[in-house]
Amino acid sequence: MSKFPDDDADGSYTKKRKQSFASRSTGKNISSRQTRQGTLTLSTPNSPPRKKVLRSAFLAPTVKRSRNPPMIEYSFSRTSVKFDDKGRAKFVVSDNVEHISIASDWLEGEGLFKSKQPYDKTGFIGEGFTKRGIYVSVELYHRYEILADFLIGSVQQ
Amino acid sequence: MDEVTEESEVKANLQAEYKLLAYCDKFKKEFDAFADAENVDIPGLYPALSYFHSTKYMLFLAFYFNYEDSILGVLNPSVLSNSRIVPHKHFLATPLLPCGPFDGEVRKFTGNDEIGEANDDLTQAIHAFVHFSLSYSSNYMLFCDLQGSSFFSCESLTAHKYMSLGKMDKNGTYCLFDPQCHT
Repeated sequence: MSKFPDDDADGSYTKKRKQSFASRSTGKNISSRQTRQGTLTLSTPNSPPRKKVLRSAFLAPTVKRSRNPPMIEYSFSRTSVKFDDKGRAKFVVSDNVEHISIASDWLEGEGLFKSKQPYDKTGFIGEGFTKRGIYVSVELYHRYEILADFLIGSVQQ
Repeated sequence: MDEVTEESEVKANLQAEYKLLAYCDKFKKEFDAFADAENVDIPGLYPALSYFHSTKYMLFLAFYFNYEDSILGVLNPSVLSNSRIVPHKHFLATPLLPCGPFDGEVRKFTGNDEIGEANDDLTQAIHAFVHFSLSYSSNYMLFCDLQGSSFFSCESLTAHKYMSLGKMDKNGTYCLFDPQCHT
């Protein structure tokens, strides 16, 4: 008998080999069969019936946004980073036009922040030395995702 | 920066920041692959160890950079462009980490000028990553000011991806953001 499964025209070698492996693994008398698609399925003759798994039908609500400030939609073009073979980063500007919604009340939130009043209901996230965090949302893979937007600079008063 | 900041300067600054984030993410993947190939037992394990079917994923996701779903973009001119509500058209958007009063505080793992103490597993793992990155970049890039939060939004795509690897709870990994670099 050939040792190569490719020469195993009737599948007997493969069948015996798989059966032998499965028997060794489980220590049980396991039968095997070749399906029409060529996959091997295993079953134990005296295996107990499977337990019915109970699942809750409760569907938790999906919270898509952590804030609900007024938003204005804009279109934008994305720039991505690609690495070449030597590990150098290159910027690639996409031709696709995507959409981003920007919180329009972030200036009010910034005012509240500076006066040390609660601002977490507005579109103002925070600020550092060079950047502001402004609440935006972008559709990613057909889902709206929450993003923090970092924009440098301040607005003309 | 103030309102007179040139758009070109804004673009350059944001590009530099995004590129650095991309480098951190790239080096982290190389770090993971190297550790995997060498069977290195990296500290900084998740507390939710038992949730994972394979420890392979668990070992190397203890921290990541807030890069994958980030967007570097430029707003296009439109009918509304005259009433643009933001000061500059270039922006960098990153997944929002929960930042409410009841969310976790930001934790620093390295400073700008000193690496600091490493008294726990996660800090040791991050310091190992910093050392690896310096070596991997031929002593060109030394990441610093590494900070992060363990509370990421369950609604973010990144969180969804990581959670799909196992039944990890939302506190299972550290997201590092706004890294700095000495060159």
